[in-house]
Amino acid sequence: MSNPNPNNRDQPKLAEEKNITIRMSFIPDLADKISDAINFILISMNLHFEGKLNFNKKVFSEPITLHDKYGKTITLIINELQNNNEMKHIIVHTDDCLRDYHKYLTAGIEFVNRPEYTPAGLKVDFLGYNERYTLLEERSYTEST
Amino acid sequence: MKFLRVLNNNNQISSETVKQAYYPEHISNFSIKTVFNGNISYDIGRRKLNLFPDSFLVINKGTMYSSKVDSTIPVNNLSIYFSPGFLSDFYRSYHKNQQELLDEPFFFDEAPENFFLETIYPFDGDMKYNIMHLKHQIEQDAPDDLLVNEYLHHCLINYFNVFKNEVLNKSENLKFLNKSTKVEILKRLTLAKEYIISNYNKNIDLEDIAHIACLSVNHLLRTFKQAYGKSPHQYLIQIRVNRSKYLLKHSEYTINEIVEIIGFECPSSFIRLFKTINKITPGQFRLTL
Repeated sequence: MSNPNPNNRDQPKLAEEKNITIRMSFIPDLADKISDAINFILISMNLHFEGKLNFNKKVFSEPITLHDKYGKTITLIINELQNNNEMKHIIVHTDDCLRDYHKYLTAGIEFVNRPEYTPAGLKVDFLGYNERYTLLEERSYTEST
Repeated sequence: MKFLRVLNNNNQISSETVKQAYYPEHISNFSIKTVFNGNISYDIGRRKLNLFPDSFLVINKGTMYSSKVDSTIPVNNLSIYFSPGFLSDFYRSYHKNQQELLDEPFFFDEAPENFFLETIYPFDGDMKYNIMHLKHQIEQDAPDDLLVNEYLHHCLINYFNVFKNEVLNKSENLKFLNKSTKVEILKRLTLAKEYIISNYNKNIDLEDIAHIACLSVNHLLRTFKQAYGKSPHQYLIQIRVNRSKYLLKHSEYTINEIVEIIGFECPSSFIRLFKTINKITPGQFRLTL
């Protein structure tokens, strides 16, 4: 058998340009606040929707396609979850909490704390239209390899 | 391919993808080093360490060290160098109360030597998430200093938590009354641990490990088990199995090749051991990915 070099063939895959997706979650108790939340994110992040958003909940079963000021496509996915006592605010999910925390700060959004570590991942709370939202990057702590 | 970013506050990030490189002995600021494939060898005084993708290395400010990459394919790595001022500010924010921070906002408090223990730590959890995000940002975009410093601040938070888990909590497990004895034993056990990690695929024995740690074999066995909850041999097996999982996940090696890489002599005993620990065979593990 050939003598394999441990440095061979375990190259990391090159990072690919990711499509931007914003995911939001809410529980039925917060359903009447979701339209404000969507509007707030759209206006704060300078995102545009071609047409008129219908906030009837049926529309949330399909991803919503938005565009930023450079014409880049952003997909907005909204999930209604079962009632959850832990969930106090509408959650804006992210794949990188620090990047979006910085982006939202730059956009003038007011944060009520600094990013903090929780068993679910890294999160930080922000304010908009007198509501409190949670920016959450879910992390898995069980993967060791 | 080489990348160097120097921030306004003198924090630095360097990233490199090379097959062969040698950096003769030099000193730097406090740094955190990672590698994303293959391995890098470090000579730190008389210690010879091998850094693999499942670990990160901490090197203190002023330590003399050299490093080497020798590979048939490009090895990708990333190092973060923290300026003394940034480090001092972080240390103060953790150890001073609000009043002290307000009274002396710009006081330079150098962190004590044992606050940053120079060794290899597991590269997982929040530290891995944050460094991977940082890496992605600097490769894909040109993030501003504020964002990069936010990542670096969190890397220090993450490091501090790893340090608490790997050093402070482990030293508490040692059954010695004298605190300075605990610290000294743990320092020596750290030498043993990093020797095992660096040479996991070689035929190392207890005498070698005890010699490196400046402990007798019996003393090593007793204290290692107290600190880490397993014997040096069990620890070595765990490292080998974790590396095999990494290679199953990230490489195209056959199982027989992986067995050889991780230093097992017999594929069937490796497969049996893997199944005992993970409840599935290496082949099944690869299929689940």
